[in-house]
Amino acid sequence: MGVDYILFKTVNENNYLYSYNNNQIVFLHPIMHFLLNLNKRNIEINKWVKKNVKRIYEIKNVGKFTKSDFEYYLKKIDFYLDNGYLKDYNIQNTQRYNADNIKFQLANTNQVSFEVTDSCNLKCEYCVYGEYYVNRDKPMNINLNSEIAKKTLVYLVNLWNSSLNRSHKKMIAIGFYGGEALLNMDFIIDIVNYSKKITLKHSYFSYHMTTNGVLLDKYIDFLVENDFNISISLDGGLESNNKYRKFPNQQSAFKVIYKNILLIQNKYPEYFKRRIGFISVLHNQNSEKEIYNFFNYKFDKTPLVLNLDTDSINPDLIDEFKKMQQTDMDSISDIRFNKFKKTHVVGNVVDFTNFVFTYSGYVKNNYLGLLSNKRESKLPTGTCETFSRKIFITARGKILPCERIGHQFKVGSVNEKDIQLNFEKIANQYNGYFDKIDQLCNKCFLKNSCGVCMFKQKIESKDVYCNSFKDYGKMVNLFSINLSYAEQNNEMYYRILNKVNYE
Amino acid sequence: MNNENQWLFIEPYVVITINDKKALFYNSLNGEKLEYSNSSKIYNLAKRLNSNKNSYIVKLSKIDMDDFEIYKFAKNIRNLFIGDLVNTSFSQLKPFQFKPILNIQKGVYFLKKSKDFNVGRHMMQYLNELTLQLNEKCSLDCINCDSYYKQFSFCTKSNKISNELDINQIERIIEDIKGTSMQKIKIIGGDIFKYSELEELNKFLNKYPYLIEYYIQYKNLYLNLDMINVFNESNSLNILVNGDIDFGILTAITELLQKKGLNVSFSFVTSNNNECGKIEEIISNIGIENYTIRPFYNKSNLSFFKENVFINKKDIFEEKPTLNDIFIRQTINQINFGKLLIKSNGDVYSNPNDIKLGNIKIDTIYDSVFNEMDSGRSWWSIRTKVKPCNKCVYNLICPPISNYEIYTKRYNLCHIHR
Repeated sequence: MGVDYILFKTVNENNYLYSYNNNQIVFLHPIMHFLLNLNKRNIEINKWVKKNVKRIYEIKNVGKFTKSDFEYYLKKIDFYLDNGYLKDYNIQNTQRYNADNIKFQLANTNQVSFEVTDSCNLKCEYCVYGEYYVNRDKPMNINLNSEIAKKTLVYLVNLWNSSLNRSHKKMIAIGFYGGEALLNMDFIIDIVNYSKKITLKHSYFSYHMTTNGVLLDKYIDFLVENDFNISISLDGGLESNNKYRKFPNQQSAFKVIYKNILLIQNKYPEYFKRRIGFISVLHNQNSEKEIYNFFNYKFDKTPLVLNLDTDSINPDLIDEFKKMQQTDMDSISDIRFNKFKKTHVVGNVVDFTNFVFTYSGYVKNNYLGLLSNKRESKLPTGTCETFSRKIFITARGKILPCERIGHQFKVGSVNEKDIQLNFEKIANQYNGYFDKIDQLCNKCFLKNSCGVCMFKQKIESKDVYCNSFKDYGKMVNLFSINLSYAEQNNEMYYRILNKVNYE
Repeated sequence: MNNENQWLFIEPYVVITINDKKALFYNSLNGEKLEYSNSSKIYNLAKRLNSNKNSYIVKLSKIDMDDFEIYKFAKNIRNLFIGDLVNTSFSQLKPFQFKPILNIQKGVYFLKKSKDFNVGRHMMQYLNELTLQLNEKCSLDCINCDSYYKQFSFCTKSNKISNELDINQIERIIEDIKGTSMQKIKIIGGDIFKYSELEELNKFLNKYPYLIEYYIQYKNLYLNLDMINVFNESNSLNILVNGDIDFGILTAITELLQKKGLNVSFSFVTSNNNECGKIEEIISNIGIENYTIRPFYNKSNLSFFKENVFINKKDIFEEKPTLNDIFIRQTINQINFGKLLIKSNGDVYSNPNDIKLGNIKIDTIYDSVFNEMDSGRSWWSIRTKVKPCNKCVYNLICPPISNYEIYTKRYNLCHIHR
C-alpha cells in the first residue's frame, strides 16, 4: 500500500499537509487545502477550477476567493507536485535479517544483563513473575550459576574485541536483575571480580543493579566500592503509594526500604548523588505528580516512571488487573522523557516529542543518516534490532534480547558447558515474525514510522493484532492533535529539537 | 491580496540566514532567493520571522500591508514559493510552521553530554576512505613535491627514505576496518614501485570489497613498466602528471595502459594559465579521455587562483543545494568526513594539513578515529566556524571548505569577501 499525503485541520482551524515522500509538514492556505481535498477525491482540480470558478467562488465555512487566487494555488500545487510533496510513497518493509546482522548487533551491544535469581523477598502484586502474567517462567527459587555467566562473558568478549565492534572507549553495562538480585550476592561478587580480569580492547565495564532495596543495608559497602549504578524500586513517598510492594506475609515493605535509602544517603552522600536512581510503577495508589514531587523534593532525583506491563495478562484476572491501573491518561509518562519533564511538565509533551522526532523530517539518527537522507527498505515494526541494546540471560539460562519480553521469545540458551546461540536460526525466527506481522503493517498508515515492539502484539498467536494500527482517519487525528498542541506551545518544538536525546 | 490582518509565513523548505548586513531567504526546492540589506524594512522582518518565538510566521496588520516595501516582499515570496499570506480571520490561533532545525541523535553534541555514551559510539561506521602512504622513496625531484599532497591526492617523498608501512601493520589496519563503511583505499608513495611488497600487498587488498586506487607519477610508471602486471582490472590507477611534461613518455604509457585494459584516470597539475593551455593540448593530442586538471597553489599564483578557483555568488547558487545539503554543511565537512591518511612513518591524519591523530605503530586505528571524533578539526571544519565565512550570509549555501582553503589558511577563496 502506498500513501501520498495527509490533509488535516487543527482545532484552531489551520490547515496543513504532511507529505510522506518528503517527510515534511507544511502549513496551507485554505484554498490549497480545499483543492488538495478535491485532488484526494480524484477530482481533476484544473478542470474543476475552470468549470466552477468564474469570478468569485465561496468555499463553504471559509470565505470568498477570486479566480486569480485559485489560479495561484493551482500553480503552487504544481510546484508541490514537481517537488515530490504529493508523490505516492511506499517504504518497503522488505528488509529481513541474516546471521551476520545478528552477530554484528551482538558485537555492538551496550549491555549484558543477568537474572541473578528468580527468587524474591517481596511479593509485589503487579510483579511480572506473579499471578497476573502468563508469559514468564514461574519463579522456582533458581539462582543463576556464575559459571553460566562467565561462559556468556567469554563468548561476548570475543565479539566485543573483534573488528565487528564499531565503538571505542565504550561503556558496557553488566546488569544484575532478579527476582531480587541481592538474594544471590555470591554470584554478584564472583562476576564483578571475574569481569575485572577480562581484557577489553575497546570498552570497559560498569555495573548496574535493580533492587527492591530491602537488603541494601547489608551489601551497600561492596556496591559502593565497585561504583554500582543502583535503581531502587519504590512507588512514592507514602506507605499507601506502596500498597502493592509487600513482604510475603502481606506487611508493607515501605519502611524497611525507606530506612535503607536514608542510610545510603547519610553514609555515602556523594555516591548517593551520582549512582542512586529510582524506578516507580504507576498504578491506582499513586500519581505521576506525587511520585515526581516526592523524589524531587526529598532526594533531588527524577525517577523513571513505568506503567504496569499490559502484555500477556492472565485472562482470568484481567478485571482485577485493570482495577490496579492508573486511569488518568494525562498523567501517564514515558521513561525516556523524565528528565525533560522534570522542568517542563506539560500535558502531551511526550506524544508531541515522539511526533516531532518522527514527522518533522529534521531528526537524524547519526551522521550516516544525515549523509544518505534516504529512507530505504526497513524491517517491519519498530522492534529494537536483536541485541542492539542488550542481551539478557535468565536464571534458567535462557537467552533473550530484552528482559521486557516474554520468555517464550528466547533466542538461545547457555549452560556451564556450552552457549547455544545460532545466528542463522535467530534470523529465521525473527524473519518468521516479520513475515507474519507485515501483512498487517502493509495496511497501516503508521508503517513508515512505526515504533511498536512486535513482541507486545501477540506475535505468536494465529491472528496477530496490533493495538497501534492506524487507518487514514486515525492518522488525520494524530496529526491534528499534535499540530494543535504545537500551535499552543510553539516554544516546545525548539526545546525538543535542541535538547531531547533518546539515548 | 486581502487587506485585513494577515499571517505572513515562510515555507519550511526555505532557509533564512542573517548577518549584520543582509538577510537571505533561500528556497531549497527551486534555488530561488531574495536578499535584503540591513537598511530595508524586510531585514528586520526577516529577523522576526526567523526567531524561535515566531517560527517563520508573523502577523501583519493592514498598516503593514499598506507599506509598499512589505507589500512587494509579500508579492515576491508568493511568486517564488518562498512564503505566503493567509488572512488571520480563517483561524482562531496562530498557525505553526516547522522551521528547519537539525537534531542528530547520535551526533557529537549529544554524545558529549551523555552519561552513558561518548563520541566513540559506533564511530567506526563513519570511516569510508583510507589513504596509505606506502613509502617515501622516489628517484624523481619534483618541485613542490612536499606540497601537492596537501592540496589533492598525490604522492610525496622525503629524505627519510627508510620509512615504509609494514605490510603486517597494513593487514592489521584492514582487519580493524571490517565494521566500517569503507569504500575506497588510496595507495600513494613516494614511488610505490619501490615498496618492497607491492605485489603481495595488492593480492591481499584485492580480497576485500573496497576500491583500491593507486596513485603513480607517470615517469615512475614508465621506469617500472615491467611491474604493470601487479595490477588487475578491479584496481584503479590514477596517473599523476606534473612539471614539464615529457610527451613521449606520457604517450607511451597511455598506449600501454589502454592495451592492458586497466581502469585508469589522469591527474594533471597546473599552476598557471600557460601551463593549463599546454596540458589541454597534450591531452587532446594523445587522446586522453579520463582526466582531471588540478590547480596547484604555489604561493605566488594567487591571480591564477582568483581566475580559476575562486567562486562568486552565481557559482554558489548555481549548485542549488537542498535542505539536506544545507544541514550537512552546517554540521560536517563532507569533503573530509570519514577519511584518514596514514603516512609511511605510521602517523595518522584526517587531513595532511592538520594535526596528527595518532601513530599506527603505537595506537590502533580506533584511537585515531576517536581523537578525530572527540577533538579533531578536519571532519568538522565548516564555514560557520571560520573567519570570514562565519559572518557571511551565504555560509550555509556555500560548498564545503576545501583543502586549498585549509592549506592556504584562507577560507574566502571567493569574490564575495576580499
